[in-house]
Amino acid sequence: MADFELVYALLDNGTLTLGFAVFCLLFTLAHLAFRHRLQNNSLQPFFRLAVVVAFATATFFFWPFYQGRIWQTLAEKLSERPFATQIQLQQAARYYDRALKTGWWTVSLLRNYASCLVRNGRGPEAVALLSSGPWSEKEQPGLLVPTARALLAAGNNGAAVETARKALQLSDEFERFWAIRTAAEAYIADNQHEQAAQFLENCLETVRDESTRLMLQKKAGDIRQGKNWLENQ
Amino acid sequence: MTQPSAKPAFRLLRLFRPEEIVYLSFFTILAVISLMEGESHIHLAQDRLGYTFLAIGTAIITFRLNRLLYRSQGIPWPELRLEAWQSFQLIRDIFSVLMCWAMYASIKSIMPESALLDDWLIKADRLIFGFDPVVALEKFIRPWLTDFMVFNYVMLFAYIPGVFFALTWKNCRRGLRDFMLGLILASFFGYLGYLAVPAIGPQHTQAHLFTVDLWQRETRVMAQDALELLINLNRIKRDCFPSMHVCLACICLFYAWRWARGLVWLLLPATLCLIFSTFYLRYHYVVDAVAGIALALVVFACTPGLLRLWETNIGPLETEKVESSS
Repeated sequence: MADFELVYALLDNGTLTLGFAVFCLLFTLAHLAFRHRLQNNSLQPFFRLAVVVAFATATFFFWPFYQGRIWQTLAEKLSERPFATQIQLQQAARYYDRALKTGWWTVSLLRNYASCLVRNGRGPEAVALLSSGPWSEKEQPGLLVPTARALLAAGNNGAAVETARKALQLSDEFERFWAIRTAAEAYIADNQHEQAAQFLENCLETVRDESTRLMLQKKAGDIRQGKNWLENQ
Repeated sequence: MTQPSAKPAFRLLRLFRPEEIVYLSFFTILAVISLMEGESHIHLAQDRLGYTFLAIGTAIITFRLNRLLYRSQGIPWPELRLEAWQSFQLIRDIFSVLMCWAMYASIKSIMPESALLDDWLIKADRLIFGFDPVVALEKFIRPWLTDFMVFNYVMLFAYIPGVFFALTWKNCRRGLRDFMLGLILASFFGYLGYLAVPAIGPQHTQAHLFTVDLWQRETRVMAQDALELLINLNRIKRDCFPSMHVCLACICLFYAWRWARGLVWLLLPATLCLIFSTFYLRYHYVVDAVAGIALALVVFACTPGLLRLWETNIGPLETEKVESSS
């Protein structure tokens, strides 16, 4: 991917414009505070102090957020390509890492980072990422499925099933589908095909979408015949 | 100007500008379709263009604000108030230009899956020329010429801001309203053309007739790749008839002739090259360009009358400035 596509990505989500707008605001404030004299002179020190506070706030809060946003945008542009090469995924992982090092994180950043690591064949690193850091202090529902996928990729199938089962409680149908799939894949990886098929059948009543239910039903049959999840696709 | 005694139904319209009514009508229709189908068809941002435009607007406002502060002693509150009002007007103007792109971005989700009418357009081209003009152009293909044509094609993205900022710089408010109305009206009817005559262009339908590769990559430089990507990422399918590239370029040219004549000498050769580039790059049939020019001419002829009609029946084209002395 050429570099200009990454620049477009920064333009597309407003990152460049946002940074420029903040720069313009700070420039104008500095101009106001340090070149002009207020008509009421006694207010001048307070005004200057307010501008210094604005600069300090921008430095300590906005700048890390902004840097994180830049790295995350670049990383997502690379990693969200369906046919991203392993080199591109490595590059994206480096960008995600830089985004996290700014100290600013969101669930979507962690999900995408973990997914990128898994696609790059670095399951254990994805597990380590999701199980350490401030986000692991309390359970993040949005991270359950990525954690289960990472555990599966790392070969820790038992823990993958356990985490996927927790994710079955989520309200989002799409998340639940991935939790079901992950648990089934973990059973298959442990050569427990019958258990995987039974698990799928038990989950059928929780699936509202008719076509998904039919697909899972068919999958259960295929798995009983010894097939893997992706075998007939 | 004294305000005409408008009917109550028209008084509400005074809050708006003529071009705002046009794009609001467009989005109202889209909103109704969205409600009926339970799916949003409104996409307000053609993102990169919108954000670029907003950044330029921010730069202008910052420049004007700081120039005012630099020239004054103390903080000149009344002037700042006036500046804020003018900045609001500028943002509103910029927003109208953005709506031109937003209409383009939104139209793609209501494109019907009906049969393509490329055959009609090919027949029309053959009727006029007796041969396929787009195919015939391939004997002129040279890598440097392709690069030059890509550059010309992309330059439309500079024409509209160019005319817009020239009129803003001259503080030619009537010219700006005229230009904006022309731009939005042409977009409105042009996008309706996409719905009425769905076509995908010679690059797809006549691909089997071309014997020369247009994109000879080994001889090209990176900047052209960037420009080509910019074209392809911003395009929607079935956007051939009329050629809005040609139409909007002509709108810029015509309104520059009416309101900022100095720009015409720059825009005229550039527009001619741009029109040629649409055939050379195999994006459009010749008849698409003819339709685009015709639409631009009709709109150009109509907008002064529409503005007068607005002033007679509804009120001034813009709300008055706040007083600087207040």
